[in-house]
Amino acid sequence: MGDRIELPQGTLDLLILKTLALEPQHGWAITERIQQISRDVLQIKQGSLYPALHRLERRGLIKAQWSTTDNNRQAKYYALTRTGRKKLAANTEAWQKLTGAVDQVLGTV
Amino acid sequence: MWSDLVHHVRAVFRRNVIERELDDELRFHMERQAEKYTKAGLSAEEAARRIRLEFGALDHVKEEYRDSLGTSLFETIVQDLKYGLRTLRRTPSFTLLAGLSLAIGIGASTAVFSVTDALLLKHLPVPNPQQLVSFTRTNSSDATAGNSFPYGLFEQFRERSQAFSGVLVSMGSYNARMKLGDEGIEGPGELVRSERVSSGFFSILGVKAALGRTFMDVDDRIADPEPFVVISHALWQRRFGQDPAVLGRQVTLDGIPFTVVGVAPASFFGIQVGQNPDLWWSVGNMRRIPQMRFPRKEDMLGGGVSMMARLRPDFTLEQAQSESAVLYRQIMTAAAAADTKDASYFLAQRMDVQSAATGIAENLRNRFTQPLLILTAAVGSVLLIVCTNIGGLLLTRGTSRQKEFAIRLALGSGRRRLIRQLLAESALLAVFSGTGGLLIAALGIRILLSYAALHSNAAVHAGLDFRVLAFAAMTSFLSALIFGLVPALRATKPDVNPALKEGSRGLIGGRSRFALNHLLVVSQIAISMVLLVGAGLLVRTLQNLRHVDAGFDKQNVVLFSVDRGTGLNPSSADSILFKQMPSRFEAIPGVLSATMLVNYGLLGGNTARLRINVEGYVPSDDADLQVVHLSVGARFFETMGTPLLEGRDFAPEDQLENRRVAVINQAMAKHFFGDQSPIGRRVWGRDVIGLAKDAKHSSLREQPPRTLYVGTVPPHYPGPAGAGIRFAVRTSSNPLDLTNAFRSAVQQFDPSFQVSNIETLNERAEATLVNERLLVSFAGAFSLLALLLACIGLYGTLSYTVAQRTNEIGVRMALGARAADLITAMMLDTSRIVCTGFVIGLAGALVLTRLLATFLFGVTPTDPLSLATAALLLIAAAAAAAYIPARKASRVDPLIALRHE
Repeated sequence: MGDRIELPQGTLDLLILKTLALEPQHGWAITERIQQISRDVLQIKQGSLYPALHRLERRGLIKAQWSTTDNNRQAKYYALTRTGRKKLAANTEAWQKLTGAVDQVLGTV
Repeated sequence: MWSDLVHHVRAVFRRNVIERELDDELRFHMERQAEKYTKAGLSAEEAARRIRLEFGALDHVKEEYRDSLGTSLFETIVQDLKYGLRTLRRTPSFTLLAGLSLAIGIGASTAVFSVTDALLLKHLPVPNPQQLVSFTRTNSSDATAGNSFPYGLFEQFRERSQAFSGVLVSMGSYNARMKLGDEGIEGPGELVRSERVSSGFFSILGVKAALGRTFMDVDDRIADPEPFVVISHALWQRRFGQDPAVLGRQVTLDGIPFTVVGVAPASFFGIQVGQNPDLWWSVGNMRRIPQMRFPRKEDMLGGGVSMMARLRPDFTLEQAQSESAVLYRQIMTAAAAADTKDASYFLAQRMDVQSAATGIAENLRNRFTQPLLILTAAVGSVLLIVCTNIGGLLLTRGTSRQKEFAIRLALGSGRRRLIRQLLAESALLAVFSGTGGLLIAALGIRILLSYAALHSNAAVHAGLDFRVLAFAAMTSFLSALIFGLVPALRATKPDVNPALKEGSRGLIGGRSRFALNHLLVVSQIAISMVLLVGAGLLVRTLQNLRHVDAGFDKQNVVLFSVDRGTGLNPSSADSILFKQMPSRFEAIPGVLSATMLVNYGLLGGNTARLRINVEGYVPSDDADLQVVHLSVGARFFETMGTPLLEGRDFAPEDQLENRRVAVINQAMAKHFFGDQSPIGRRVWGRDVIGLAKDAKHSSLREQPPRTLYVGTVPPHYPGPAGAGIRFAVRTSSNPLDLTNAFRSAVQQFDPSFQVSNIETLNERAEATLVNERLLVSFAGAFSLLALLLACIGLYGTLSYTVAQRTNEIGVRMALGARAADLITAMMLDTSRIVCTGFVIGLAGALVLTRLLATFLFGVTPTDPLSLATAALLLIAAAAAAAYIPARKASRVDPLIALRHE
């Protein structure tokens, strides 16, 4: 396992939204996906994941639905809503601006 | 927003579904993770272990999840309350002790504050009460001489003053017998309290009639065309069943017909607190009715009235004060120039103005202000002790619950949640004790008011004051909160390990946190000491007053009134019958002597002050010629048991022959005649026939004043309406056994004579001690309560210390310490706390009981007996409270103690 990194505040929400942008997913798959793509750098704890999911659901950014998985089991799938999609776009842009700016500063010195 | 709301609603109402879904979701997650690990080649057990590690406390995840749901507020409150109830039920002795002491504290303070408020603080229920002022006369030595003014002064004052938008007077209230017009002259009618006021009374106060009208604000010098009254809302309810047809009804008051023209609003109780008149009539009415004995024109300074006025908004109280003082002086100077009787007396005084926003309550306030303030202070101290006690109990409990908190924290409970939990327990406690307090307060108000009514015949409206109740409940809630929170905050410090460890290693640990607890116990003991000393002084005062030599013998004397129940003054024919009654009473077996009383003292009856001339006595310019004047019948001194030092008692012949004779007391003889015998001298146109021992006629506290007893009664005595004629009878055994004999003796004269208002002289004397008894019973109860609470606090703290130190004690016992040594050691430890509290309390008592000084009788605030009694009581109680836990400690079995967890 690589070095674990503490996620800055609010980043988890953005990662979840991004993961769900491709297709609806259940909680476990979300952590797996994030871990995979980040090459094990980002590991989401269940203790943070589920509260975050429900926070997003409450805000109307995602919606949940029980459906059947490929191997025929019940799981709760989360999907992006329209507001969620807008939010994702806005937050991604903001994030890129921020990291770009931070990179710039760190790079010049 | 919308989805937020939907979630909330769903969360509240479909709790189980959500919980189940969450469980399913988390289980699904764990299973997938397990599959992943097994695929990667781990054994099933290893996979399960790793998952457990990763997940940490599952409950914690759920807890956070639930918090994120936002259902927490409503739901966790319900949960907290439920859990709180369970906790409180699990420790019934704590709950009972805390709840009961809180209830008593809240109840007692609410009762005392409510009555104080009604009597001293409550504004009159009229618009802009802060503009109202009342007037007093102040003598040259700045003491209040009275609040009554001559009616003639009022009339001129009203014309000439600029500072007031209106001036009104009340000529006082008295009982009159009211009959409805259709009842006829027969029948007993009903005694009602009627007040005579100037016509501007209602309009200046700004009181509008609830029904009909009030007085038309016409000139009081013009007689009203037709006599009418305004009745109170209470009388309207009581006597007329709230019938609107009451307007225009005829009533008779002491036989004089009146028409009801209006009903005052329910909130209006008059301007005198505690008087609660049933009806008002105006001066204009009195002009019209010859029987009303209105002060005559030539008697400009007759007729004492109490004055009230409404300040103009653009005038200050100081301006009004200086204007009134000048006006008073001018009016009285003019009266003195016209050689009006008594003008010089009034001229020697000045007029003072004070705010009357709370109405006039001179009698009640004079009588009850001091006791109520003392009670307020006492009850405040009790509330303080209750709060510190609750604090101590909660602190002890909280400390002993630290382990529980630590365990719950370790299991993943949120810190905020724990604190909320404690808040819920405090709130529950406050609700329970608040309810109990409500009941106690209602009871306490009734007891306090019954004390007040016993003496002054006054009904005071003192409803339960909910602001006060809320205040008391808040105080106790806050103290419960603060002291409940301190241990909770300590216990919930992020570092949970020490607390877990400490429970099992109690040798030295845990002591420092008792500093606060000890402080609470010390302050409780100090406050108890102050209260005990105060109560002791009051008990001694009451004892002294009961045993003081009043100058008459209180045992086996009964007083009663005789009248025809008409409320009319006795006719001349009746007066002659009255004079014959005492000898009839004396014919009853068991009766030693009987006398008739007209203007008698005997602790609070009617007394009159006179300024008299004494033959052969040349007064200097500033000589005080005042004496108390009492009109009494034959054998007065024999009946009262007042010894005659010289001369003889009044005889029946003196009365029948209308001899002009008098008896004077020692104080009067000494003032006017020095050491010479007064017998045979002439005083106020009467021959002095006897010298009586000094006796107290207004109160047991008084220094007997110069007293002139006059033995003849005018044939037609105009006593107060409805009062009848009063008799006193001395018997050889309990005089109340002879009541029926007195009744039949009276009715032999005329069957329509009634005997009423029967009381013994002892009861009469007790009734004058109402304040003292009120204070002794309440202050005594409060101080014992305080002591009890302090002991509970001490006991609680010590018990806890013992429980904490069981290990240490066990070790010592195992090493050979004896039980007696252990007890001694613990008692010595305790005595440090007790002594500190005791010394502080003693110092406090010496300072604070000075406030009682004016109330004490025959004792000084430093009375050694009271101090010693309080000290003994305190130390004995504290020792008992400390001994029980100490003995428990000495019985510890070393084996069990060492295993003790």
